[in-house]
Amino acid sequence: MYGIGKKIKDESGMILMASTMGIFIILSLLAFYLARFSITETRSGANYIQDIKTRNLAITGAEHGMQVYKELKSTSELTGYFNKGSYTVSFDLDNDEVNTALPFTHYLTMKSSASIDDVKRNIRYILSSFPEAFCFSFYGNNASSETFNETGSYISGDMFFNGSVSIGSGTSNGITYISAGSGGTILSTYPEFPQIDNTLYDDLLASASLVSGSYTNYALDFNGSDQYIEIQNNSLINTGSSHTAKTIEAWFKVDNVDFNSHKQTIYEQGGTVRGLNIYIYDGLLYVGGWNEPDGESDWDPGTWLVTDADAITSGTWHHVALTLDASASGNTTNGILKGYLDGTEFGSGSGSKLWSHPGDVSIARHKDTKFSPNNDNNQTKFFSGSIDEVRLWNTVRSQSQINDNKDKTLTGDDLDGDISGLIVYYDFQDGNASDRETQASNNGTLKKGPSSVSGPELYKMNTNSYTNTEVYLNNLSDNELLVNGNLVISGSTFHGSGYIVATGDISISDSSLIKGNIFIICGGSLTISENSEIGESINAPVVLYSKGDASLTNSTVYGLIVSKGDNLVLNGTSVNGAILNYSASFSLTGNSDIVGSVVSNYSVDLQGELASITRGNIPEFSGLVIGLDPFVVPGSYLEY
Amino acid sequence: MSIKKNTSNGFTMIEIVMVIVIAGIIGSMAASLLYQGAGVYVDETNRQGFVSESRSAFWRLMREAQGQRNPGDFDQSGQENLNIINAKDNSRVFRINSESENEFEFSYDGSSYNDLSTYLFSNSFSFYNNVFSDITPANEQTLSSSEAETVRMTKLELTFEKDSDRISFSSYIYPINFRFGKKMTYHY
Repeated sequence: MYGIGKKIKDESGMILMASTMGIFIILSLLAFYLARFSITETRSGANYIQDIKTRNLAITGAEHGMQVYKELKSTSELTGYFNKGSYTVSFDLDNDEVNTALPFTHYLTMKSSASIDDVKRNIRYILSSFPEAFCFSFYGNNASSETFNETGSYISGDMFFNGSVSIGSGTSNGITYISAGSGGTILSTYPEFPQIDNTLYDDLLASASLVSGSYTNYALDFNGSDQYIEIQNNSLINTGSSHTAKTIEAWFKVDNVDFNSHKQTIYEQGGTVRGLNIYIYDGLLYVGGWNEPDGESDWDPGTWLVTDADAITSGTWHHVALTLDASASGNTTNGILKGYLDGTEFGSGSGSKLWSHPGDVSIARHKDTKFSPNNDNNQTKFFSGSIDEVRLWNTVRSQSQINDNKDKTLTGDDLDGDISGLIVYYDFQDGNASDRETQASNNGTLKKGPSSVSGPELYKMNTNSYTNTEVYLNNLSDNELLVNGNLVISGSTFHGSGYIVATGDISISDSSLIKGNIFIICGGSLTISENSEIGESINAPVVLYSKGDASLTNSTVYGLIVSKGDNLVLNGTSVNGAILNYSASFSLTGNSDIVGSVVSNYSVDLQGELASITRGNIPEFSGLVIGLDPFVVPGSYLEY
Repeated sequence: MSIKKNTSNGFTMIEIVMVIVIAGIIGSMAASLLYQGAGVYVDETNRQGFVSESRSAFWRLMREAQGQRNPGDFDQSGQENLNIINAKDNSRVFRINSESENEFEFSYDGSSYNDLSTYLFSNSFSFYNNVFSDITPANEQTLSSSEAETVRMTKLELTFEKDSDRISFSSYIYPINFRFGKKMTYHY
């Protein structure tokens, strides 16, 4: 025992220490494993929450991407940070998330990837850079009152018509008719007619109207007691055999619109038997005409169209126009006499052609014509106020022609475009009544000295010409060619990117080349002809935007055409891209082929047997704001 | 008188035995405490596993349902099964195993099935049209093709049970694709 006791005593400290450490180690191991279990389970639960957070973050990224793409058409990569995670939004213009090619060039894949710690989620959408209506080869007629009945040419691909489709329409070539009325497959819900945001185009046209050489306009002011302009009789105005088509226009600013002691005559031609006049009386504006003899048209006592009360105000510039659209037969016909105030028709009535009506022609004075209702015709009655831009035409100007041209000057014989019927033009710029149009050469004579005063705000029409020239838009300020007037391009080449803007008409002809990524914005009529090439390819396109009539003949276009005038005519022209048409008259003649999509507010007149519309690629226009909203292709949301 | 000095310096046997006994008692108490603690952890671990499995099954159901491509793809869905086709034209099917009602199954392709949970207690899939009218078919019935076309929203309810634990999930699902209209042939 002694030995044992001694040994234990000798090693007792060591044994106690070892025992304590052993127990501690065992307990530590147990605690470690228990803690590990706990941590594992906690992480498992946290991962579940992380998964939800990450997915929501990916959706947030996608919303971000869609907003940016809608506003800027930008396809640059986007990143964002939120909730201790991050997302990345990327765009693929060609393929989907597994590198399968997209069906059209204007489709793109938007991918949003989000990460929080080691959890990652991916989602994607397929976007179209054009509105849904452009999914059809032809989307037509927003008015729902027409029947599609075209037997010539063919349309290939799905076609939608907001109306009815006649059986046998078109030449079937894989076409599927879908309509909102009858015929084809009835579609109960269908895409809305897309609206374009004109802000970009209007802003550029406004900028063009302010370019150097801006116009200071002058008018003539009349005292209302004895001042006026006398114009000699002329066969183009009032004498000669007869007059069937007339348009008379003028700007006026009356001192007292409510003056009712006598009529205030702005313009008159003829006498009490035959004639036309424009006057103000007791707050109202009148335009009228008459041709009394029984042996002629018996337009007796005549017709006077009158504005609503308060339509014109004192001291304010207004524009008035009178048109007469009579037949040669001389019969009195309803609706051929029309009046326009500030570019808008305010009335129409019966009328006839006018036989020779020598009498007199005067501005700001009544001499011997007559007033409604055929009285008060034998006193001299003057106009008190200012008058400007008196234009006499022997054609019937349409409302759009009147409205589109009332705010800009004409340049007489030098004016390009449709002035074939202009016979007299007084702009009063030099303080007299010189006729700027030389057909009649009918200068007026100022009587009693009407004074020169500031006129209404007009912009000057001039003509910029490029013939056999090469132009690089990036050499111009802001890459913009701004023309306050007409623009003529002949046999020339324009290199983009940039903007070609003209407040007047644009003519492109003689094999001119307009390279890619160029906006052509036209405030007047657009004419493209003679093998001109507009845009280079589906990846280097142009935007053609016309506020007036558009005519494309024997040319090629890659891009988007927006037509907002009265007429859109394609003749022997190839379009690769899209057309957005607001023109009531829309026709395809000759061998005109459109590959892409046509969206029209009206039907299309397929006149040429070889004309065709085939669904195909539309330019992507990445990074270019064109005013049309993209849309998410339905059924394309995917988590992967 | 001589005094004999005690030269024995070690523990006595009694002391050693007492130490061993005391150490044994303390050790057994500690072991008992540790065993009980471990039992609590094991129980909690199993419960967490049950909760995680249940939540994952419901989350998967929700996520796939939100990816439904078109209303018409709910064709042949009912109270106990949900048919889904995503944007890549892949079929996804959730159903209750007809032979074992506790098994909640999922298929990637509409043919082979895997268990998402074996603790299903009850379920209910409901369907609503665009005016939020309940168009859920009767028990063991399914939506026709035309009925499926009118579906705009679903309500998914799942309850899982294991031992004495029970957990329920419920959510209305408005598939994200439905925000953008119906997929039509002319879109592609």
